[in-house]
This record gives sequence, structure tokens and C-alpha cells, in this order.
Amino acid sequence: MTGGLTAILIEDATAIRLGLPALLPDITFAATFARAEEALQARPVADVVVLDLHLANSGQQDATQGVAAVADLVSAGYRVCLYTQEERRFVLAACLAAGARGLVRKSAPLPEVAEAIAQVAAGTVVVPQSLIALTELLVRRGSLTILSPRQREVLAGRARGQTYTEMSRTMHLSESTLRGYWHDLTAIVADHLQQTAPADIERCLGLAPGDLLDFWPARRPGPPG
Amino acid sequence: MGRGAVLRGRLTASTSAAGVENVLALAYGGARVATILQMLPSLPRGMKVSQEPQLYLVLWLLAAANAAGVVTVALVRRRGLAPAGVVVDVAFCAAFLVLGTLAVPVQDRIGSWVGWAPGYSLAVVVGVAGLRTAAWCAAVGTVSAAYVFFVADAATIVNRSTIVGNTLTLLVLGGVARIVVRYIRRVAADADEARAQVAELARREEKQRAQLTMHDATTIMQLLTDPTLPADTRAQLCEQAAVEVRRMRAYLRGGPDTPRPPAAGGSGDSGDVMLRDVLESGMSGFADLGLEPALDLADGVTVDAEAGEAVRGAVAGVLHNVRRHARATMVIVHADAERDSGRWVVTIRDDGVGFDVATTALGTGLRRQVLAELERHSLTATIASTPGLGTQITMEGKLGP
Repeated sequence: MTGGLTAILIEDATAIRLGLPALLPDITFAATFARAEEALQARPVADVVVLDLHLANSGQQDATQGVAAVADLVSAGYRVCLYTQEERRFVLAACLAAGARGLVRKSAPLPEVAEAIAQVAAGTVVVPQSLIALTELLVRRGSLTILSPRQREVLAGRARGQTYTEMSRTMHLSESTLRGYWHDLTAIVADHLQQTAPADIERCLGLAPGDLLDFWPARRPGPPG
Repeated sequence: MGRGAVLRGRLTASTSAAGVENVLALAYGGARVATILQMLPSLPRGMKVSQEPQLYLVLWLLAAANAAGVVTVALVRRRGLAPAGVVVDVAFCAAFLVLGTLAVPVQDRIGSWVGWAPGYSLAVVVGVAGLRTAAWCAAVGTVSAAYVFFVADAATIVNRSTIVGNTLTLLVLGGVARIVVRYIRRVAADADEARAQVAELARREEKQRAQLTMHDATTIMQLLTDPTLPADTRAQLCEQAAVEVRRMRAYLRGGPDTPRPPAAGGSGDSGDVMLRDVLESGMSGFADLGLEPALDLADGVTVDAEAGEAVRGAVAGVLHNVRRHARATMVIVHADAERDSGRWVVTIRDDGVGFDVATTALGTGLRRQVLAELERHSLTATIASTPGLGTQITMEGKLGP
């Protein structure tokens, strides 16, 4: 479901910047930029910003990137979907804490990329598998405590890679109900990461004090536009 | 070659059953030789008092020759007489008893080695212990009847009980010998059967070990022959091929298959390893499959080193299977320590094509490397798969104290 969707692409790699719009014909790319600063200056209207996490290169060494770019775009009222090869889950968690609403890997199949962008544009939080496991860890270690028993079950199933069809069979709930639980759960997770101090997360995950400082956003995001 | 070596050579047999027959033949021959030695001192007196000294001597020599023949045959065949030989032996014995009435004086037929035939017949009766029931009854019956015929003329009120006792000795001693021989043969047969079972189990174990050792390697080699293989996958496979080469060399040397993950630290058993290390070792070289490890919940869980090696092999086997068959874009390896149930649980889930578990025969990898190997270490493994919806392998074990 990507009809009528307008996006902005911020990507320093020219080939991807030119190629992705052609490969995702159902999404209207209103503009593409090599730097976040250019997008913030132009301020085109879009349902979602597709953002590469690493934008600094030899041609634009001072480009704002990472959680700082996420925070700037979120502050400007955009919904941000990261399009990245970054795999370090603490970096990805920091991006959610900075206000990004979704993450999709560059290695993912194109339909999956399109689906993730569309879901973020629609207001859904898209959490990659590595962060689902991190979320389960936060729940089991008492950092994230507000999930309902059903949400915990859905989280456990997703952490193990179960499909909604399978969970529907074992939990005797419809797939749409389960998707609803997941939708609410991901929003709670995103809020939790945005509201929780990095020191608390460090303590919960058994990290040393200060381990997350290099990753975590210094600024808190405002409400999504 | 010394006598001891000769005797050992004589006693050496390929099976316990053959060894028992060998020993019985030697014992039987020894009994016959002993009988002849017992008969020898009375030979001169027997010839002196016999009413037919020449017949007495002929019978004595025939008995000695027959005994010598029986001993020779036993030593050569390494087992007792064949049925035809037994018939001849029993027939000779009966003849010695019957014809002995012509050569042995009546007063020497009981309680004297001048009348040697009863003693000789006792050795013969013991020697037929291995016959089938009907043949044994016929042989013992014939010898006993001949004995009764031999002593019939000597029977008086005084020695009648002695005659009955001697007859019973033939029957009872023959019966006891038969029971003992049959029992020893049964024990030998059981030992041979057990040995054969052990050999078969060892053969199967070795075959399984070879299959386990070679299964992953053949998978890797097969994939490497594919010219369309993506470069990153080929690089991963080359890395794994190097590991498999080390494993196969270790197998050929008879050593442990692979370096194990480091032993768990702390106060635990030094033979334990961390489950997380085991899983990471099993996942090594499969990055191209889109692995998504989620192992944090099992931090601190240890497993016995042997079981850990089985889990490592199972994880690698499953991932090889995914690479060959699943066409998956993502594989989630999730580990959890379920403290409430006291178990650790590892799930390997792929989003590939899946298969129908009910109708698809499992290959060597899943059947032997995963299910059988884990079961051998008291771990459980289950496979769930649905066509189009991927496959999940679940491995479980007890949490340590």
C-alpha cells in the first residue's frame, strides 16, 4: 500500500540517490538531497524522509549525519525512515531515541523497503529484527515494564521470527489483532527509547557507564509531524 | 614355538562358540587319555586272569586306538566328533562292553580296572554331551544297556546296588555333562551375539561420525562448484571450507573434531562451555544468510563441553541446510534461558520456502547431525516447517545449577 505516497530521499551515494526512485515507482520522490542540511533548507512537503545514516564523505566531510541528522529532521516535523547498512543495534536504538520512526536495511528486498517506507509514512514504527531482540532484552531485564501480557507474547514471537499466522494459531487471536498489538508495542518502544536516559539503558543491558554517550542523541525529539 | 604358545594357539578361536568347542574337545580328549592311563596298570593282570587273553588284548588295544583316534580328531578339528564319529565311538564302546563278557572274568567286571570297559564307557557318555536330545538319549541308552549286559552275570544280591549305582552314574553324570555343555554353549553364543552387536554398534557409530564429519564438507564443496555463487557467499564458504579441512584432518588423525569454545569461567565445571560461545561458533561463516542473532537472554548459560559440541554441529548443520535449500533472506538464531521451566531454548528460524514435515524425508544433516546427535546428549530438538512460511528448529536442554 504505497499509492499517493510522497517521500524525500537524503543519500550521499549518487547511484542510490538516482536509482532508488526509479526502483520504487509507487513512491513519489518529491526531492532527493545529498545532505540533510539541503533538505532542511528546501523544506519540501513529504509524508516521509528516507535517510541514509552516513552522509559524510570526502566531498562533504562536514555533513550532518547519524542521530544529529535524525534529530534535525524530526524537529523540522518530518517522519524519518532510515535506509542504512548500519547494523550496530545501539546505534539503531539511538536513532529511534532521536525520533526516527523506522529502519530498513539497504540489503533488504525492494518490496520490503517500499513497505517499510509506506508504514513509516502512515505513522507506524518499523523496528528491525535486531532491535526486536534488544526490546525483548529491555523487557526481560525490567527496563520496559508497561507492556501487557499479550504484547509480551507477541514480542517473544516476533523476536523468534514467528509470523503472524503462526502466532494467530498458538495464541488463538486474529492476525489483525496481533498486528494491532505490535503496532502499539512498537510505538511504546520508540517512546521508551526517547524518554529513557541512556544511563538507565546502559545499566539494564549491562554496559559500562558512558558506553552509549557516543551514540545517544543529546536532544530529545518533539512530537512527530 | 614353546608349548605354552602351542597351547595358546590351540585355544585361540575366532568366536567364543568356537573357543568353547575347542576347549570341550580338549577336555573330552583329556578324559579319554586319562581313561587309557587308568586302564594301563591293569593290563598285565587282565591278560593273566582273562579266559581269552588274546581277545582281551585286542579289545584293550582297540579301545586305546579308538581313544587315541578320538583325541587326534579332536585336536585336529578343534571340536568334538562329528555325528558319524559319535556313532562309531558309541558302537565301539558298546562292542567293548558286550565282547568284554567273553574276555573279562565275572568277578573282575565290577570294582576293578581289569574290567575296564565300564570306566571307558563313562568317558564316552561324557563325550556325547553335545548331541541333540534324541541322539543323546539313544547313545546313553545304548551304552547303559551294554553296561548292564556286561555286569549282568556278575550281579549278586550283594553288588546289585553297586550295579544300579554305576548305571545311574552313567545316566546322571552324562546328564550333568550335557547340562553343563549346553549352558557353556549358550553363554558362548550370547557372548558372540553381544560381541557382534557391539561390533555393529561401533560400525554404525563410526559410519555416523564419518557422515557427520563429511556432511558439512560435502555441502560446502557442492556449493563451491556453483559458478553463479555470489562473491560474498563464496568467501564465506572458503572460510568454512578451511574449518572443515581441519575437522576432517582431525577425524583422520582420530583426534577431536574441532577446537571447542573456551571453557566457561567462574565457579562452574571446568568442562562446561558458554552456550553463547557455542552458538556463535556454530554461526561462524554464515553471515551471507542474513543472520540475526539474539543471544543476550542466554548470557551466562553453560553446557557440558560434549553437549556444546553437539549444539555447535547442529547449528552449523541447520545453517548449511538453510543455505542449500531454504532460499531464505533472514535467519534468526534466538537463545533464551527460561528460568521458570529450568531449561534453555535455542530457536533457529528462517523465512525460506519451508517444507512439509509430514511428507518430506529429513536428510542426513537434520536427521543425524541435529536430531540424533542432540538426543545422544540428552538434548531435545524439534522441527517445524510449513511450505512457504519457513522453518524453525528448536533445541532445548536443562539449565545447569
